[in-house]
Amino acid sequence: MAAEEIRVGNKMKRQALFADLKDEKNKERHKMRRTRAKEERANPELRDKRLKENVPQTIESMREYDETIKEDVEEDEDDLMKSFNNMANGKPPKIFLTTNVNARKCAYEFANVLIEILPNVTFVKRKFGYKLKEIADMCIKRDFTDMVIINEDKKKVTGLTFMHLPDGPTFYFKLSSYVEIQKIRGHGKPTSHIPELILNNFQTRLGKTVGKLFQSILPQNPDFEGRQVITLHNQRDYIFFRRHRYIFKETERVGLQELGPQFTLKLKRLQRGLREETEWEHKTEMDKDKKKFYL
Amino acid sequence: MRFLIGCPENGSIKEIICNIETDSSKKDSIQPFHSENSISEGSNNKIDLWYSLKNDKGKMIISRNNGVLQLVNRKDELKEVEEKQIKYNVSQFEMLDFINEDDLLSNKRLEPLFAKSKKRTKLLDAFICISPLNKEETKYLIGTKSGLIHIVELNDTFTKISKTISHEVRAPLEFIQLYDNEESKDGDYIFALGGEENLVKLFKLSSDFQTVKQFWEAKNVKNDRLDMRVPVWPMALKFLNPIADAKEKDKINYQFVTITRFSHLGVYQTQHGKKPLHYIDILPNRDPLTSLEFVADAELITPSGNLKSSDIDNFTFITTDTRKDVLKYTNKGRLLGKYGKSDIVGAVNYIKNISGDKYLIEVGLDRYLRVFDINSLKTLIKVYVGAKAHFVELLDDEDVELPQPISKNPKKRSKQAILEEAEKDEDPEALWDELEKGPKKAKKSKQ
Amino acid sequence: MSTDDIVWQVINQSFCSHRIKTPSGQIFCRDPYNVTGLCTRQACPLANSKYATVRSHKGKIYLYIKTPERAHTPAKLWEKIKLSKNYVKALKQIDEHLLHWNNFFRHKCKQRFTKLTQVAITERRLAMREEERHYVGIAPKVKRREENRERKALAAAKIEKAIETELLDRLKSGAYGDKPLNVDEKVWKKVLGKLDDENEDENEEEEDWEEESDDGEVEYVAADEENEFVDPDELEKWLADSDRETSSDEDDSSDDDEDSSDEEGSKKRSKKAASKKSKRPKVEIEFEEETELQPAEQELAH
Repeated sequence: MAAEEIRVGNKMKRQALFADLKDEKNKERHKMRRTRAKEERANPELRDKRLKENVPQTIESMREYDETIKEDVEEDEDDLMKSFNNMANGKPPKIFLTTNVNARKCAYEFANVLIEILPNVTFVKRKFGYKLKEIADMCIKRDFTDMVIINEDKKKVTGLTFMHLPDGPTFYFKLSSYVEIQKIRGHGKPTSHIPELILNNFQTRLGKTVGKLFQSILPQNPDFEGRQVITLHNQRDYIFFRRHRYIFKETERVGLQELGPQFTLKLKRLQRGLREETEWEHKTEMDKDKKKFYL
Repeated sequence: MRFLIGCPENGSIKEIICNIETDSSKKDSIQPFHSENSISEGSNNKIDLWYSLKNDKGKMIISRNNGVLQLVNRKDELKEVEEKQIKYNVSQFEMLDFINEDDLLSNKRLEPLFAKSKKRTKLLDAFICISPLNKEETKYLIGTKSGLIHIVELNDTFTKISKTISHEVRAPLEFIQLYDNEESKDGDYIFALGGEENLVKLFKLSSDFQTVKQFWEAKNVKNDRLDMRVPVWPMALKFLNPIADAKEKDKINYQFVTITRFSHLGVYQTQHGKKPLHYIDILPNRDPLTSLEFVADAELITPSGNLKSSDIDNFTFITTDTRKDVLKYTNKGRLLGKYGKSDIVGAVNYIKNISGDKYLIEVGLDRYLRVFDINSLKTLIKVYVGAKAHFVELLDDEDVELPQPISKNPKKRSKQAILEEAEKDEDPEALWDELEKGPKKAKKSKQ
Repeated sequence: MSTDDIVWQVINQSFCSHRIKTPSGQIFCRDPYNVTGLCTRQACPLANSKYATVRSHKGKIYLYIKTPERAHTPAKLWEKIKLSKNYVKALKQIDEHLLHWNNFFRHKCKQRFTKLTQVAITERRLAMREEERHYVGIAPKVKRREENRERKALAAAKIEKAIETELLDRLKSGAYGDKPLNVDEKVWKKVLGKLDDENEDENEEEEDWEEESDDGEVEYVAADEENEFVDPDELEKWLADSDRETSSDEDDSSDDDEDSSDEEGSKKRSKKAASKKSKRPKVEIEFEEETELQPAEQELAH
């Protein structure tokens, strides 16, 4: 009997019948899986074959064609690229960190977290009355290479602005699902070693630019003995920030312990210079197509 | 169609050859046939703009951001692509001569202005205008942001380039627009200029190029609602013909239209006075406007983009802002339409109205070249350039001949493009997949 | 005057479209000509044929006066007088024009004029200020959609798995150098062994005997695997250790300090009184250690 064939007037009875039916189906499925697992254990080729044939269709695999994915970035193309080249010459980033005007406590707490993550960073409490140009001027004079502004709204950190000095570009990210270190179960304590960096899945031209930003702003030359790793994983235009400590257990297994914090970034705007012409801006109508991704 | 695109990121000129209905963002549409970088000199020596000579086809004057003016010869070279059975001309560049003097550009003159400027990113000097002064195309007016005006000469055979004289005017400048609607009686040249906190001024360049004299300056409009001064920042200017029957003969007689960084459209008549005839707020929030192009028949537009009509109450123009829009307006500031509605994502750097009311070509920060039909606002071509583009020129607007006769049905044509693509792949299975279309196509893209 | 009373009667007792009542019981007037904004007999611009108010029009402030003499020409009902930009002068202007009016209008007009000037000043200041933030409205629907998509993207990302594969890739591709500091020696040897295997497969048969030695390695691996079972614990232990290392370092140093000072003081203290010791535990935390130590030291001292 199928679910739609249950035509009993009494609701309680109907529900009970339906529950029975479901239970039966579950049992069947579990049995099927058990037998399959047994067969496959005896004959691993079966498993390989099944996995090969049964490829699930995901949004990622159905992604809309983007001609910028395959193309290589032409050399010396970007301002960021140039700055990155500078860094390879041994000039480390120097970061100016501040908040929006009249920021609440949470912004400062988040600043503390960022101070731990970003290298060579100076936090300055934001003062009212300075224009962005004046702040940028001051930073350029003191050889800062990047400016990071935390945006707080209604007692929540909602955004991050990254500005590359002196000529831009400017990135604005929406920040969401921020989880403090203390709230992560089984979190470890980070050590002072410079972590490695994993940038996953930045594919398009725009994505590569964003990847370059993180590559240039996060610390280089990791201390491998620290076994720490910062990951920025891009999935469907959401960039997930995670920090872990790892250990190679076997040749195929890695143990991970989360160090925290967690947060998610989403690129909203990329502007040339210090907030001048828009290079890319997220618009809500871009969300219409679920299979089109920009990073 | 053949395009030359100036890419600032690697200081090169990129040539793109494609047909109408090319869309590189769609896999099953026609792809561009050719795309190649030439005369690349790195991002520090990016190309600001160039001028292609009309008399001697192929010669170009290229201005680079490091303060070099180059005279370049572009030769066509036939290229055949055998697997596609098509042939087209490809440009080959050859350097003829250049001027490399330190004083062509001057960042020093802009430094004190930057402190006062509303721009946050450091001002760097750049060339903003290369305009031919005579019909033989041997003498040029070249202007820079820092308010330097150079007169440059070519020899008769167009093989040598040399600077004659330089003049200084008040900086900073956003544009220099030469008045070429009619030739002046005494051989003088008239041009207009303006910039940030630099009201529109009309200048006269004597026929022997020795003197530059300002003879008219606009006045700022009245204070706004809050009794605050309206900031001055004209971004582009285009002339119209002077009033046909001027009432006051002794007064100078010019008509021109400007757009400003505070989204105003200013219509000026020098007979009317120094203040604008209309000063219309076009966009909300005073978003910056950056360029100005008239929409009119080909014979009504002069080489430098002015309109050969004295009817100031009846014109349409196209303008761009710093976000993503290319907008078409009437003279009264009524919006007629947007080009590339939700397609364009980056700010538009340059637009050019080609062959009268036929095409509008657009390049910008989103790394695409687009061609629109001016009247129907439709996108005809969309090609990924691979780099931010700053300047573009249409070399010729003829489509490359495809091997089979092109049917009028665009659907069939795209199918043919698929065929070609599949042939290139040399994968018979994929070809069948493509031909059968439908759900199998998704599979192909996965591979 | 009688018409005024009739008008007021109608407004007050039946209906007026300008009148709004707040929940708190106050009654306001929305007529743009109202000088106070309150719905009262005195301030009602409809029920007063002689009336004066101040309004701002296109950024300029005007004094509006209405008299019964012009009541028959509604188009010219209001006399509009532009007030000076100078605040003091403007007040004088109001005084002059409302010379023989009652105090109420003179006072309220001045009050309203002052408020409008202040508003203009604030508006100007706001216009001068650079907008730091870029305000974009977000519909709840969009917000919800983004949250949902984020959640689904997170599920699809399988971040930890991605990190693991990336790390293993790095390990195997030799990104960590010849003697990696971040790998256990045994694991590294195994990785190397595998790498060798691959290399040897590519190589020729000459190195057959080396493969035999690999066989030996297989045994070694098997032995290793036993250890491997303990590994999760090891990891935790190590993690705990690493945590303790930092913390215990501090502890040690503080211990040392106290010990050294104690060593000097303990002799005196032990001789002086045991009663002091009984007090100390309340203050010191490591009292247990000290009680252990002190007898030993006493012995030494004797």
